[in-house]
Amino acid sequence: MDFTQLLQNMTNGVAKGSCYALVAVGYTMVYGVLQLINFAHSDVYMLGAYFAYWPAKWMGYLPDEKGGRAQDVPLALVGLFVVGSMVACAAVGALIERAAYRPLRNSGRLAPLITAIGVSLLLEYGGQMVFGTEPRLFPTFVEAQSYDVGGVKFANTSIIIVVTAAVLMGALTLFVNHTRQGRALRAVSHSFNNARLMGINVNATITMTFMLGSSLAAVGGILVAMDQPTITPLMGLRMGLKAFVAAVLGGIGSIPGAALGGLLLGVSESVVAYWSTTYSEAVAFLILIGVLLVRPAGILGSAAREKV
Amino acid sequence: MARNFLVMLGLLAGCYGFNFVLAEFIEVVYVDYINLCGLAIILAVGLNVINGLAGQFSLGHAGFMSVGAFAGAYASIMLTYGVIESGPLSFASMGSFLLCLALSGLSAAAVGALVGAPTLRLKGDYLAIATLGFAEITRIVLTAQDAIGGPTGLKRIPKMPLLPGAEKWDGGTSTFWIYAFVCLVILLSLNLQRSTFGRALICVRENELAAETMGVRAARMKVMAFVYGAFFAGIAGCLYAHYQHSVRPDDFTTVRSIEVVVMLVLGGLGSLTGAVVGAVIVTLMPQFLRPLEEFLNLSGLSMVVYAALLLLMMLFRPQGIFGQRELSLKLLRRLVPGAGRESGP
Amino acid sequence: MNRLWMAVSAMALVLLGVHLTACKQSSDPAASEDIPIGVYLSLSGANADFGVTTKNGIDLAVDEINAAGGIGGKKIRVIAKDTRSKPEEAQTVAKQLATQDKVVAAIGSVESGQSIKAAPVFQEAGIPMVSPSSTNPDVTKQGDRIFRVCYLDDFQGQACADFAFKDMKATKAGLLYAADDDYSKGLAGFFRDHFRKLGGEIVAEATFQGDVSEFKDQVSAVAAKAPAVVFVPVYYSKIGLIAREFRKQGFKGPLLGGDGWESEQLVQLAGETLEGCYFGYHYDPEDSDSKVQGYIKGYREKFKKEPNSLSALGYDAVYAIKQAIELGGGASRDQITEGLRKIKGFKGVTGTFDIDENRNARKPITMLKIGGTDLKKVKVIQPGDIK
Repeated sequence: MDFTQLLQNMTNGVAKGSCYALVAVGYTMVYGVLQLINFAHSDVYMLGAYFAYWPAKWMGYLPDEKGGRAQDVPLALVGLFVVGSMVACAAVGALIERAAYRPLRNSGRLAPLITAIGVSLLLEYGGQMVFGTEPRLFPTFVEAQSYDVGGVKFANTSIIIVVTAAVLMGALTLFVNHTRQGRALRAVSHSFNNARLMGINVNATITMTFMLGSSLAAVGGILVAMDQPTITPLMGLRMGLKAFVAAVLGGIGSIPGAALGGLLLGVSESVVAYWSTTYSEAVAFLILIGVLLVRPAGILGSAAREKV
Repeated sequence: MARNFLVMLGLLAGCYGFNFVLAEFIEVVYVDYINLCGLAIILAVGLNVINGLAGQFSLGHAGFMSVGAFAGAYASIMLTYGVIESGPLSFASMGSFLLCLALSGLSAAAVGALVGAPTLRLKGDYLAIATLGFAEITRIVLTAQDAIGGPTGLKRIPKMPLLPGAEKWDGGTSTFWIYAFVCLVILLSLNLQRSTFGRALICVRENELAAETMGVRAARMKVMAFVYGAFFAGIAGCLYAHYQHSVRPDDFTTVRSIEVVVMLVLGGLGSLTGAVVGAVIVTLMPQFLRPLEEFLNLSGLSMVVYAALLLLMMLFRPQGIFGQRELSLKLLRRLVPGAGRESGP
Repeated sequence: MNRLWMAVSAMALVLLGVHLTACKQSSDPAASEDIPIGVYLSLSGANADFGVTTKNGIDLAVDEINAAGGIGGKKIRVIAKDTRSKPEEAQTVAKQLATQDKVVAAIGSVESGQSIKAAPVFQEAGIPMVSPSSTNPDVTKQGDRIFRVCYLDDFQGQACADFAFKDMKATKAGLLYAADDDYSKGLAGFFRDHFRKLGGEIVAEATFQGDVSEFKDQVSAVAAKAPAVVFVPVYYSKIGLIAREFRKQGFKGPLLGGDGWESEQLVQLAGETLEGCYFGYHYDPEDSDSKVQGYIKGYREKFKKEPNSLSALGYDAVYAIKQAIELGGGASRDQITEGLRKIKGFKGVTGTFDIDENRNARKPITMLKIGGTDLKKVKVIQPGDIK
């Protein structure tokens, strides 16, 4: 057994898993408050990448049709593009909630699920019509550099992904546990009525949840596009599936669970890929089913005990 | 029992007549739509027993369909040609086709039991993810099997067998076979809903714990529901493979599983009529929007409109078109203005 | 509310009735005053750019033919249908083309999966189908009216293996391909078999699921074995990402690919990472042949874009049908089928070719080298060169 190679795959898995985790948080937060699988979340992730792509394109940071070298985007502008994309995605998230989910707040759990699928299809097919179906080159936010530590190779983009994901997840945990809004969020996810009795504005809190999750998805989209600089309107499909699986694996509704689930899924995929790349995803799904059989509510999820 | 048998015989005769009318008088394009609707109905009505009656959220219906499709198609190719090789299509013989249908249904049902038994202790979305994972595993494993064509899958699947007296129908006999199973699954599901088994399933859906205390063996009921749904998904897969003459692992992605759930919820989860209507709408809408897109010369528009319509329909009718009701004479009377008053007390 | 529903459903029923009673007529398509040719391609969905570029090539050829007075005084009428990038939808639109639009010939599709689904419909209806760029060997085996104007995956894979072994002097090769894509997996298989036959060794093999855009593990697995060349038969939308990942992980060897690489975006998407890599292609864009240059000029004028192989093959498919009509002596379905079988020495943009007894085009493959933003021809491999 080649341990360097195994270590290499695990390193790959951590980078991959961090992206899953960032997107998974959005699923888990919405699920926590509404018990809704927000299928449109992966398409907000796609929009995040496009919202950063367009201004960079307009300002001339892309190579022309004939190739050549792309001009690197200055760091200050990168920050601006990222924040701009986060704000735009937060707005989209809030809009989706207002238009497609709030009218169905009292209509059971399945109707919003279908509107979520509807919104997702709308963003995918609409995105194809508006943005075009061809893949597009994402501007160079950070010049790619590679490192080699004892035979294990990784790029600076991977480090940025892992660090950003860790910082954002940490900040989110602090926010949820130590601020008034965070407390409101936890109260709403516990019970709408009780939260209302405590004077919490439930609708505003739910909107805030969507905005938070969507802006994190935007960061996820940009980070992935930095590492893999080709974006398409359907880039969210696979990521959405993986992130959702990660959220469930960690225990849907739990934010640390989403982080753990993402990492676990990414690393297990990569470790299996050491033996077979063909079956790596199949085996990752098998692991998922296995974990669920042992812990039916995910790793960190708490199974609600039924009262008799 | 005997009565149901007679009803089924009558329905089979009806399917024969239906096929005759379609083959003789209707354009092939519309026959195609009708057949596609039939396939969707078998899928949706089967899933309705799992998702609607038993309340188990399954997102892996495409997986069962693919198992049935590949088992049935492989057997059919072997029985008809004896070898996997490309060439002109021929008709399957009646006996081999029925055998393949049985095989596809049973293999899918077996897989249903295999997947259902351990995963059914999961609830709600956890179950959904486990079934989705199962379907994805099936797809990946099928793609890697070069003996059944790898990613291109099986080709040259024979045509559905001829019927006596129908040798000259140029539209083929697909409609008869597909709608025979549409009738069968609807008849069975109708009876099932009213049987002790169906009531037990509803009981499990409403409150599993209460069901257990009432002596309903919930776990067993749930596996039975899975086996039932998977059986008909397998049949639908086999019919689909014979209808298209080729079948690929990628025909059965997560998107297809989701599509079947959309049919159910759109029609009204738990309602058999709803499942049928939902299946028809979801199948036909993208096709009927095609002229609009071709007229405006905007490719991709119909899918955008389809998504928007889906969204609007759910917003205006969250309980689905039929809610949990069934289409019955009573409901018809209420819908027809005036008629209700005449027949009312 | 109920009345509204009633009205809506009544309207739907009436519409349905009107649709359905469009009675079946069996008019002879050859008797019409123009030549209806059906086209089915992915005009929307994930692979829309394949379909749209092919359609451009078809439109260009049809416009040229019609502007020159059509074929024997009859103009070509194109009826284009969108398969929405779904193979099963290809069969539905094939039925529409065959029975509703009563086409005399069909062109489509790019994706072999779609061509395989649509072929039985056209075969049963007696309509000749010409696939512009489905390279999977199974496509033309679906019936004796199914043709194609491109080379096959087996030839392409073998030619690439030949090139890697003899010209690049590689004895150790790696393979990286999509496990659930017929094009990618098929090509990789033919490369593997031929490379081994020549005496080479496949030292690493890795696969991915077609819709991912993350290749770290796969690249690690291949790069670790340090092959002299890596054969990566994927589409251009992926090769940029894969090449970048190889360079990030410090692998500097050349990559080799098939015709799927080609696109005006190739160099843009890959940056400098494909410098010095090779791929097999349908023609040499810098060929001084007047046919090639005329086509490139016409395409630039009409679409304000660079043409690519898909559009060139669509263009050739139309001209092949035109020649078939002339050879077969008329524009009925049977005459076109007969004509297509007789095509010998057809001069197209993508080279001169015959249609062989298996209804495939026998044509050479051109190996191109990527240097800067240019593609340079390095070798032409003829079908007879492969043993």
